[in-house]
Amino acid sequence: MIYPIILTLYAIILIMFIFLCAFIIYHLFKYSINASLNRIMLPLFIIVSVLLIFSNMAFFFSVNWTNLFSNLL
Amino acid sequence: MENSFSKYHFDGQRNGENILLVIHRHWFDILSQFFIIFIMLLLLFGSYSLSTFFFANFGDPTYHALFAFLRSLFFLFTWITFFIIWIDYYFDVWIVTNQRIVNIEQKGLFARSTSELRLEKIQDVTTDVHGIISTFLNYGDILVQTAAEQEKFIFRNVPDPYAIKDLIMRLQKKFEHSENVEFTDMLSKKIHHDDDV
Repeated sequence: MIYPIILTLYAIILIMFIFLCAFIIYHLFKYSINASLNRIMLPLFIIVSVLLIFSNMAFFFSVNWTNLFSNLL
Repeated sequence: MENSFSKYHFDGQRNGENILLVIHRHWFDILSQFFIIFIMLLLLFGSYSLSTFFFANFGDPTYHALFAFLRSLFFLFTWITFFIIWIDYYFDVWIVTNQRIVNIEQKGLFARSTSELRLEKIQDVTTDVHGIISTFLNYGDILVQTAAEQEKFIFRNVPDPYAIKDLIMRLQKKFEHSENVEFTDMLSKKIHHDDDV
């Protein structure tokens, strides 16, 4: 019962992060006045963010949430 | 000076408008905000030793996975916060061109305003370097006074305000001089034309 709640909460957090990442990428792409700096910052942000989000998802699914909460409660 | 900003381009840049100077706030202004990132990273790396100290009962591998997940989430949060601060700093910019001064003000991720001031509207430029750190690091405010009914144009916490002030004054004088020359040319052409008639 607890797992769907945790999963929903995590999905909300993840969607918020993805939304913020999309806004940052949009700003870098649309409003950057220095093209040469943009060529460094945009790939750096995209690559690191994608790596962090996927590793975070892997960490989330490696946690045994049912077992964890049965131990705590 | 024109060549160093040849790769720069901003929204609304006109044909024949050359960027002469791009001014961001002084690095010391962002340092205090990056201090938050530093504290966050300190907490993150400190958590490796502090978690075993404070949560000695959580030695089970299940908890290891939980802490790894929480650290990863916290690092993701720190990474995004770093970029939000950087965008707020880097995209908050004053652009001096051969025609005008453009102020692009970035307020977080969801607010952005642009204002401009034509060089011929400038009446006076003053600098305000306030405090020990500002004096030592040579940064401060520049106030550009326009016609009386209009508000002041303020460059906040910019590096080397005296040099920027000099540049703006030189540009304004150059612009004024070229306008006078144009007016004199036009007047002399008109006089000659009237004489011929």
